[in-house]
Amino acid sequence: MQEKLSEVVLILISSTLIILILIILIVAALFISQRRRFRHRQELSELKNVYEREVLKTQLETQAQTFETISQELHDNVGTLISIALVHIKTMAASAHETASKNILEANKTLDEALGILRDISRSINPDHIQKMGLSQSIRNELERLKRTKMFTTEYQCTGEEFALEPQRQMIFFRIAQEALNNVIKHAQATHITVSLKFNRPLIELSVQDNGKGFIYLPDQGGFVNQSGLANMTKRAKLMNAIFSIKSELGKGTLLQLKHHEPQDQYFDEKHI
Amino acid sequence: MDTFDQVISFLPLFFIGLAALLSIRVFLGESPRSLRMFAQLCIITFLVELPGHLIKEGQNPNHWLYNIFHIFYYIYLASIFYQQLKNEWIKISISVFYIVFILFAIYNTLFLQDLFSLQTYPLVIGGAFSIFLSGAYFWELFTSTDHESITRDPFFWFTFGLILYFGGTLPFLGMFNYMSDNFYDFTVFYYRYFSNAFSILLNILIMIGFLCRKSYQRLS
Repeated sequence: MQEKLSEVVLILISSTLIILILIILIVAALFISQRRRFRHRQELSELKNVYEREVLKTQLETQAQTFETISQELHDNVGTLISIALVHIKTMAASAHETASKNILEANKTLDEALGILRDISRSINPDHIQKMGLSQSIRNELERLKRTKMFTTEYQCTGEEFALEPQRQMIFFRIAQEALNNVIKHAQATHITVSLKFNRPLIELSVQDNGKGFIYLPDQGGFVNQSGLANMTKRAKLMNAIFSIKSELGKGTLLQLKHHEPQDQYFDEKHI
Repeated sequence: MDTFDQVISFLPLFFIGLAALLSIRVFLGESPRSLRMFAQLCIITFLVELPGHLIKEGQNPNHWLYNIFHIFYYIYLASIFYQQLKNEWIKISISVFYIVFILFAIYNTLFLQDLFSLQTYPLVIGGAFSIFLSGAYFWELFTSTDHESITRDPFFWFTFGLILYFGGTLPFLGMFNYMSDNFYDFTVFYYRYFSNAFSILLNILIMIGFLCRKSYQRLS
């Protein structure tokens, strides 16, 4: 009887153990496969991010190059032609009779103004010039340009000690500010624009605020899909891992903010440039 | 039976009660139907186990109660898996199981094992089918493209508990009548310590399942 019991115990324990080991193996395989799947998905997502950034970087580089070419053409070609025209006009004014001379001087004044605007535009889109001037001064120049249109009153605030940003990053900041100002001109129906730059190393914060009509902003429902200007700004901000936010209320204006923490950026590491 | 044995004997009931208590939280928020059904099963199990233990304490036979309950338990468990599993063939096999299992249970009661001794055949068949369904659920998890971690899926824990419980107790339950007839003391010993341990483990895993997430919206 004792022998039979030992046999039964052996069968019972061994069969139970085999089943349990099999179950544990199945569950372990399930965990391992899920971990692998997670890792694979993470790798895919990282690859996608790198690819998107590369595409965006190329787009920005192409854009910068195009701007540079246009700027040079405006300055060297159109600007020179206007300058020559101005010289001719001045010569004509000297030899013309009084009524014609008055008209010629008026034309001279208009052309002079046009040349000034052309130079401003040329500078504002020239990456080298912007880098030479620095972020703060470049933004100030943009505001001056807007002020001259007499459609807006502008205000510029700069707090903290300004520090030089890496050139490409500075360019992104400036282009976002430019895009924000363009949006105000085109859509906001504003009369006053305030731009502020806060430097608090390693943090830099840009705000563009207007007193315009505002708009309904639904970030969770497709975000800026139908607003290419805002979408561009978001993409540019993403490129340097900056936080881009918008606060807008109907009838109360819009506030755009860009916050960037310098060391967090990975894209402009030396290996990427 | 001394006090220690009594405590050991009632310990699984304590864990079953705890799992039933925790299952109530499923009814408080939004949760999928299969989860609500599993919670109902936990509560029903406790409501059967409680009188079952009390009847046993009164030295009265309780096998009839468990014989009836086990039929209901396996059918209900299969219907929960029917809600949870996606594979059409397995769903068909569950539908077949309902009919075959009920017919077999009736046949077994009438011609093979009477109602007042533990009916091991339905236990083994139901248990083996539950292991099959648990395996099918694991396979679905294995091939799933869902992004969520399996540890946040209550049914992973329930299925893990069920497969461990049935895997651990099925060989014993299959031999129960033979063993209790021939080696009564060993049968009592094995049941008290090993089967109860698996029952406790099952209910702990069920409790983890009920606690593993706050919201069930993505599971529905």
